[in-house]
Amino acid sequence: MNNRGDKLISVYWFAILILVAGGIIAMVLIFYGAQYDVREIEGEIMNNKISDCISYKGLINENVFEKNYQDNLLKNCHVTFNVEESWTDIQYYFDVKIFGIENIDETVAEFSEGNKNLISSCEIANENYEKLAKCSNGKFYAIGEENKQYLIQILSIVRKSEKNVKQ
Amino acid sequence: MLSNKLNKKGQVVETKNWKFLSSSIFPKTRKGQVAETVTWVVATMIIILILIVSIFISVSLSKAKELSISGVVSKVGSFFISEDAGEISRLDTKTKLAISINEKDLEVINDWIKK
Repeated sequence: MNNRGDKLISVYWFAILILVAGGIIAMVLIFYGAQYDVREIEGEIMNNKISDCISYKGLINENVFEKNYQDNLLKNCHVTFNVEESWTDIQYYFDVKIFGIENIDETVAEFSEGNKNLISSCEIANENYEKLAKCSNGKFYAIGEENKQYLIQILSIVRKSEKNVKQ
Repeated sequence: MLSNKLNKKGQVVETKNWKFLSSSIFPKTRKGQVAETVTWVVATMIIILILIVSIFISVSLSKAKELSISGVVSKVGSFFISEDAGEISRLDTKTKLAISINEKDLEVINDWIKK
């Protein structure tokens, strides 16, 4: 038995072992270390939350046509725009457009809340601009008083890029 | 791992008995030694290659990781694997409920929603 070769092989085995273990650790770190972008989901949740206070069981909440209700929509819909202290600007925006079915080009009611500067991000839907805000669009149909038909469009925008996209 | 053997003088000597480190791994002939070395080098290269490929795959998978409201969705190109597929959105449910009350102008409603 070659004693020198024996030692050499042991070192080689340890080197391979370290290499494979290091590779596995690197793979796990790369896969699980990647950031999750939850802005689209946040936007969808906001859409759902707002849609709940506009329509319930297919019937429209007639209060949404009142100015006072629209002005206090955040409170009425139990939505909050509070974020971590790292941001000074509002990181959210949403707008609601209600159309009558007889004329789908003109809105019956329209109201919005949040940071209007984020709207421009929706026009640029490109993978290269991931640091911009994410927009989520929702459309649904509801019935009003006297069987009036309404089409409702909700646009929700979430920025919070620093927490969702690798800088 | 250790076994006893007799040496030339007839004394009992302890020797290692590792099969993978036995004479086949250190052949006596030069040709054998070269062949053995090439095998080890190729084996090492294959291990490194597999590792590199795996790391590249995990990088591309981590980039394609997307979340949907119905669960985690891993997207690789146009191939989707959803953990909770088939969930109907809340807005669709609202529309269906409203249609069940009044289904007039159904085509206009569907067209507008799909637009």
